[in-house]
Amino acid sequence: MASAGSGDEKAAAAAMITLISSDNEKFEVTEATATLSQTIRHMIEDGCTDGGVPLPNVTSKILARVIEYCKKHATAAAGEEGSSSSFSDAAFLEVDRAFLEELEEFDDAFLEVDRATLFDLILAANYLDIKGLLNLTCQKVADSVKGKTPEQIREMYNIVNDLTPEEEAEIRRETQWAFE
Amino acid sequence: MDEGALPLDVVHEILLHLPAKPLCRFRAVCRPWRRLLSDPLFMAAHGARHPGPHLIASYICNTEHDILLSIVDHSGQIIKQIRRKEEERVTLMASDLVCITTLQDDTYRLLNPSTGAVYHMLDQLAQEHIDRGLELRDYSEPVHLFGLAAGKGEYKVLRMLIRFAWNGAHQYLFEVCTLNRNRGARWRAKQAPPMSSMWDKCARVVIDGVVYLLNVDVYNSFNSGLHVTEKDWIVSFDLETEEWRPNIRGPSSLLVGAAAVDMLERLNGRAGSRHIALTNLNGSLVIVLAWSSCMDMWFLMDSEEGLWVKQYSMQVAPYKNHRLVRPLLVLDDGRIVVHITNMRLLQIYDPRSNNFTDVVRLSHCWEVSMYTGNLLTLDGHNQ
Repeated sequence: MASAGSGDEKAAAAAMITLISSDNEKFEVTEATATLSQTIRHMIEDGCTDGGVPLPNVTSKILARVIEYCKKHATAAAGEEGSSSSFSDAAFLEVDRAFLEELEEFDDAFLEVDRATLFDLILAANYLDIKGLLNLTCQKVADSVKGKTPEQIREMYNIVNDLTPEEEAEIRRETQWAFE
Repeated sequence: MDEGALPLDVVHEILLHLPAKPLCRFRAVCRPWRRLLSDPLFMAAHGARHPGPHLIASYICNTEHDILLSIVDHSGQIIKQIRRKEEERVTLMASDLVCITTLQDDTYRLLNPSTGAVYHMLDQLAQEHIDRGLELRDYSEPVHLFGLAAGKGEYKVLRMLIRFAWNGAHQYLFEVCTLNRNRGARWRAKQAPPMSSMWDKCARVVIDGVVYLLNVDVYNSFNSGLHVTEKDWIVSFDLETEEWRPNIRGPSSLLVGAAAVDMLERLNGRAGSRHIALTNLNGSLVIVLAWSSCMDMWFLMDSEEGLWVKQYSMQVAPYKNHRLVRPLLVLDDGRIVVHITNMRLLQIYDPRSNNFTDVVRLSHCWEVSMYTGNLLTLDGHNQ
């Protein structure tokens, strides 16, 4: 791991990317961290990252959290690649398991945010096209609405009911089992 | 930010993470949600993300129990239940349809449990049979085998009627119909199969629009420990062309193994309980063979060549009567979900430890089979 790590650092030092939030704050990140975002990966491939990558849809508060997530998960990806050659199978599995547990704990703690922040994270993950983060945050919201009624959903998300009573009755009739 | 301002594609992404039941309920939130959740593209994406596998269970007609059907996942969690109306009884479940009869009027219909769509079949014989002076009331309870025919994507049913004769010269009729939502399906007369075949529950199956039936002689010979040759094990009927196809050979390597087991059993002085069945495991035609304490699952790899491969085997020693152990599906990790019919129990068999562990007990349950329908589908979207 040690030799792989120093190699990474060398490569990383050569390729730092500057991300610029909507409120004009600059974040320096390694290419490995930045390319967890498919959107940024494509920009790098197209060679349009000189002078920084402006992200007009993401505030500095949210971008800081997104980078925190990407750093952790980029290390995880690098760790997986490096460890397979330097450990015996058993040791590798052990390290792998411990690492996955740590990652899960990180994800759980990461999701301890208020609803507005969670939604901002979803929008950012969607815009930056970060699959893992999008899945994680969407699942969190999905779990919180799973047992709710349509009325509760409207109330939670300020949704106006534009269905006529007849239409609503028809929907209930079509899938009565889902309302029991 | 304004919480109501989540763009619809993000709502789409979140909703894809939910199971079918809340999604059907959330169609009643507002018009945009109803449109999204009824969109065939969304349903397909949801089906791809939650591929199941799902099982469907039918229940015995019982005054204390008013559930007709339930759809469960392989961990035993009930996803959907359908209540019994009057004295409905399930006769057969296959692919995404269920055949239902009502005790009072003896008519049969097919139900799509996802959509609630019902298909009626005419309560009379095919015109060709009527013209020959035959009458439906002379025949005993029909057997219906059904599925989605390849090609045009229509549901079709093959039915067999038997008129029992005291002297053993029973008469058989074979008829086919194409299901239609608007009117009762009309029966058409068909040829009898090229050899006599089993219509018993454990010896018939429909996969991808083809009906497979086990040869009566193979069934009887195997169960009574007689010699079985590999010729003509299975007859098959193509629901699309409505014709019987060439017979399928049995597994040849099996015969060598069977002879060895026979010899061992004779040497040990015990003839094991034997059982042969046809089933659909994960979309493949499978012969289930049980003898001594083994239950082997032979998968058909090539029907023209009659090539069978024994892919799984279970140690079924805990169960004396092999008939009661029905393999339902193989999970990605090689574990096998089985239905122990007399105990109304779903179990998972782990081939690494040779152990059966309980999943769930479905009280009053009668049959369990694989369910392939998409639970979000609405009436009218399935064809």
